[in-house]
Amino acid sequence: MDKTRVGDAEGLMFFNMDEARALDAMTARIVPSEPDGLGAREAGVVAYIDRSVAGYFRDLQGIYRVGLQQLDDSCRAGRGRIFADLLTADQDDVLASLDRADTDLTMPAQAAANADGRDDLLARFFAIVREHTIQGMFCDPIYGGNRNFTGWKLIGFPGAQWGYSADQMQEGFDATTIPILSLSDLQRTRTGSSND
Amino acid sequence: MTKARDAIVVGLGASGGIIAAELAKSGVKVTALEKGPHYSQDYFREKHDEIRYYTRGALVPHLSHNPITWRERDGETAKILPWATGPLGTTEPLHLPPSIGTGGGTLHWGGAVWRHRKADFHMRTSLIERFGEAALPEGNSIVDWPFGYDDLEAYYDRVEWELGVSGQAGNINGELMPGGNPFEMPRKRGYPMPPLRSAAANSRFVEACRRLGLNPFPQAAAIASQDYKNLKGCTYCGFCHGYPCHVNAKQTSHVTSVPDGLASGNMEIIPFARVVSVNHRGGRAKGVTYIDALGRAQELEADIVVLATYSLENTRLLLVSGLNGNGQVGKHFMTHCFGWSTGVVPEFSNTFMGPLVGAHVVDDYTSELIPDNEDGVLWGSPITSFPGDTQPIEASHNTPPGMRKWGADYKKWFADSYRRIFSMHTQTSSLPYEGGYCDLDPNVTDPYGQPALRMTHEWKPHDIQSMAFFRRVKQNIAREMGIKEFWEEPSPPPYHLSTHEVGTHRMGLDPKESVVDPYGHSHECENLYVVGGGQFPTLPSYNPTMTIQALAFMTADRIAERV
Repeated sequence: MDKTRVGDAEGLMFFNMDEARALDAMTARIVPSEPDGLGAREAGVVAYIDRSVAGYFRDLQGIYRVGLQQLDDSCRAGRGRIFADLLTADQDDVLASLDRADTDLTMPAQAAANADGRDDLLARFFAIVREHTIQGMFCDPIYGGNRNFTGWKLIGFPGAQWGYSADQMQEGFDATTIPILSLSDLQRTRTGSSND
Repeated sequence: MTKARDAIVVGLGASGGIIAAELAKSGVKVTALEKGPHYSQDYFREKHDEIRYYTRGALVPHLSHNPITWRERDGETAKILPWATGPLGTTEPLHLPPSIGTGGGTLHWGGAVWRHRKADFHMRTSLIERFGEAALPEGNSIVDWPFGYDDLEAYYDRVEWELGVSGQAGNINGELMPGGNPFEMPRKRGYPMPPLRSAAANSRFVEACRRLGLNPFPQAAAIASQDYKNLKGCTYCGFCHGYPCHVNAKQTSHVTSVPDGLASGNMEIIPFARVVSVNHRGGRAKGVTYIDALGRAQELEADIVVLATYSLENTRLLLVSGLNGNGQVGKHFMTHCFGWSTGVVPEFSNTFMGPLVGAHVVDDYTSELIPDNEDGVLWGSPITSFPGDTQPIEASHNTPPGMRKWGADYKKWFADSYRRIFSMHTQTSSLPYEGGYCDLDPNVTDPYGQPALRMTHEWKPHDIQSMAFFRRVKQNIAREMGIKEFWEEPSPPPYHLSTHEVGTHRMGLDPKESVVDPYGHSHECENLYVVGGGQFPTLPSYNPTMTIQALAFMTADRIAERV
């Protein structure tokens, strides 16, 4: 993992490099790069999470720090290596063991960070990282994720369009023919056509 | 000291925006207190932001400052809404109280508008005539409304023509109109604007319904299909329900009412004003106390006080102000159960285009039209097509049950399916029960030291039976549409808020059995009005807002002594 991938030109606000490496490895299994080079790594999901946890999600700073630490502790204890150094198949096994339908997501984050049950905390932590990975894939690029429209290209979403025409709203229309736009494009132009 | 104002209106949403503006235009001096911002007319030009509005709920009151608690039944300890909190914060803003700021819930609403059916105003009488009194569920508190459809028709017409609604008339003065709803209540004239365009999958829904013998018609929508008065024509951008409108196509009181009220010179708005009590003595309201933007308590006095916040906050304010003389405040809580159903259509339908309400709907099984059935469903629901208006993160939350939500398979499924997602939904009428109510939480307070509102509500057998009945109807339609993969939200749903909470300050003619009269006038306080969905004696399966708006016009007329 190179530095540009986790912190962009601005670097990291909240995570240190070891934490970012572990988080990068997790997000890369949640949305893998194969087969098309359109995954969490290319989208800059770690940059999205880093900025969000430094700011909007500051309440989650505790569970991110503790969660990443406990993930590595449990991988070292069970498999002899930290998470980022495991083979991808083993990483998938670890994450699958944390992906539980009955995870209680209603506990306050601070309580979770101080919870006794390690597995319980890790399951909750995985659910958070999964959710934030999706956000970092499909957010507007101003948030630091969806870099080069990686996420939007993956699913064929044209982004922040002023509107759509009747022709574009016909069944079978291939929306990837529409140039993708972001919020910063709209903010720069402050104009639009109603496409009637 | 000269009197600065005649009336205080608390909240500038669906009802408060109308009432404040109507009073100001008729010469009443109005001070409007709004908990959120006073938005300018072009504030939302670049609102295409799913993180801001869907994921982080930038428009809605957050539970950290505005806690609401919920428990299933008496004797349990209520928790802050468990489906809306937790480590992820606000994951489903839809299931929180509606937006604050000028426009209120009409800033972010989908804009589905309905006139209630005649039978909806007489639910108790209709049910007893058809099924007998013994068929009513145990512990129910179903009543008739204190007036009927004909009393409200002129006000529905005003909402449609003064504010703006797009649609296709189905019944004008008893004559059926081609292309409209054959089950529509008679109207005096059509809609001021033609129906909206629809995202692609809607035509599959229409064709499938027709083949099944159903009668689909375009949903009437509070969104302009062309320029109309203060509204501009919709651009079909697809960031609609849950979002403010960037071109002011959405009928929002912030656009349709507030500017006209201000232009009269008789209305002032105090934004970031959080009302904490109605001050009253000897059966008269003196005014209100509010916390201003800098956290200072302020008192305002006026001859008339109108509480026009959300039904739940209206209820909380009555309770914390000690206005519950007959014990009826907070009773008869009702909400909708959505029955979201989702599938994947064979061709690109571009799920992210168009407004939610650019869609057809089927009324064949609504309210009293529900056929005799084995499920015990007493009151039916419309079946609505949702072909568009679904952004990627929202869609990613709604995957087939049992599918792992990460990894290579998930990535492939989402990449293949996102542009072909199609939803349908019903919203079954939730009946009022003695055991479903709101009161003040004994344990949880907000940051201002006031008790949170506590909801006590459980989904009842009738809700679950209704979901089962309509699941089969929707599965039939989906099959006919060529949908292979089709799934539905769990029954009963995990949530107990739908943004359609009503009934908790019921209107009625008997001061012992209700909180307000048909005009929203408090039985307890001679110059206090409490308006909005809280007035509803029952909750039909239609969306409530247009009826809330019609009631607001009626209240404004009453206060201005035009009734």
